[in-house]
Amino acid sequence: MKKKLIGLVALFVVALFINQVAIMINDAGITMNNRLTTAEKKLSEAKSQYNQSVDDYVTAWLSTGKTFSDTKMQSLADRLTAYSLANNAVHEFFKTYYTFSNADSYNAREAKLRAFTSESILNNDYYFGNPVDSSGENYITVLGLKNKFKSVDVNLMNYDADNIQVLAMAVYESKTNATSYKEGSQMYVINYSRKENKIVSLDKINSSINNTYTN
Amino acid sequence: MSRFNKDMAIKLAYILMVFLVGLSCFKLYKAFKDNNLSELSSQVEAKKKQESSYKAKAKQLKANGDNEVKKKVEANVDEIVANQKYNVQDSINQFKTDLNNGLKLLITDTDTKEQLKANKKEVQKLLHSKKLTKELYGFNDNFMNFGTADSIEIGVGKYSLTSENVSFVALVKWTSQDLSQTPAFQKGDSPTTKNVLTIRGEYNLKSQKVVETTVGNVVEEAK
Repeated sequence: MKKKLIGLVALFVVALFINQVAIMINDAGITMNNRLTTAEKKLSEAKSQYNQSVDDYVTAWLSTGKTFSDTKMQSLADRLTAYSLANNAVHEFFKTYYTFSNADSYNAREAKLRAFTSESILNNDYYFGNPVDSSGENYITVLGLKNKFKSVDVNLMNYDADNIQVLAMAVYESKTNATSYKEGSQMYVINYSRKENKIVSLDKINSSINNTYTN
Repeated sequence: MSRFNKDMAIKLAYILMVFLVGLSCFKLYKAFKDNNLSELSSQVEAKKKQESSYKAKAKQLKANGDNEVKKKVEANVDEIVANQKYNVQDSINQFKTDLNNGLKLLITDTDTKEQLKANKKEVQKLLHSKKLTKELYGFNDNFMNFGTADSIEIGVGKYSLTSENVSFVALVKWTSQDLSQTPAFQKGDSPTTKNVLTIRGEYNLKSQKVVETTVGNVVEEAK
């Protein structure tokens, strides 16, 4: 009788043991599946980052004035090249134009911009006039006006072998002695001459739109 | 308990235990079958290796340090471009044409309500957006009295070969009655004003829909 009972207990223990092993294998499976899911996710991210890198590389490569026999390819390369040229010039221009901290740095912008801005713009008082108010005071100094460039969003309108025309939204921050930095934005239509490698016209657009997208 | 009953109970207990062992064995078999651990493990390792490989390639390409990768990309530009899901350039040009025609129609004088209704339908098609059309017509019920657009300029932002969305800005200029008049935008003999309306948005090349827009207020053109 005793032996039979020991046999029963032994069978029970064996059943428990096998059951426990099954549970452990299932747990290990779940862990492994989770690891596989994580690995797949990471692989997918790495793959898309690589594809983005290739895309960026090809886009940058096509933006350097390449020639192709295929007309569609040529059209794409021309567009990307025109955008890249104008985008670089417009960024350089506004980075300098909207950055000053006193009357001296305000006046120094003109010389800095000369390399890529036409004389007609630099001589235009609307953009580069002497900053004096009606009483003859320098309002940059009087107000303590300071400006910081934030960004410029360049949109390509038209281009040909000689000129590139863009619509640009420049975003900047301004402050005076009495106020802290506040963000502002201004839209411009800009013409860039490929022959002169310069911005040759600048038209301020009166627009109520701001720089943020809302749906 | 009689001797007979005891034997029966033990027999039944044995049958139950054997059943339990059998059930556990089945669970164990199923666990092995469902969880091919060595296969899963090798899959995880393979994915990790692939991930490292992609990361290394991206790093090399970014740093322009690997001439072989560069050469390979340069040699396969045609193929890379041909493999794009859609032709970015053609899609953008078509969208610019549509947007231009849509805005032109939006501003154009309309004499009858029926014509206005028909125009709205066409404008919605050309602007690729119900929401934008509604918003533009919602400015003023008298949009039909705008006259003719002086100019419509459209700029398209940066895009790459695989871009799904491109940003755009549309600048519409037209001449109307003085904005200071009430109600605004109605025909009359009062002085004319040069107006500017700016629209910014994003166009999805895949769905061919305008997915996001900001419409500015109508302002007087800077003199």
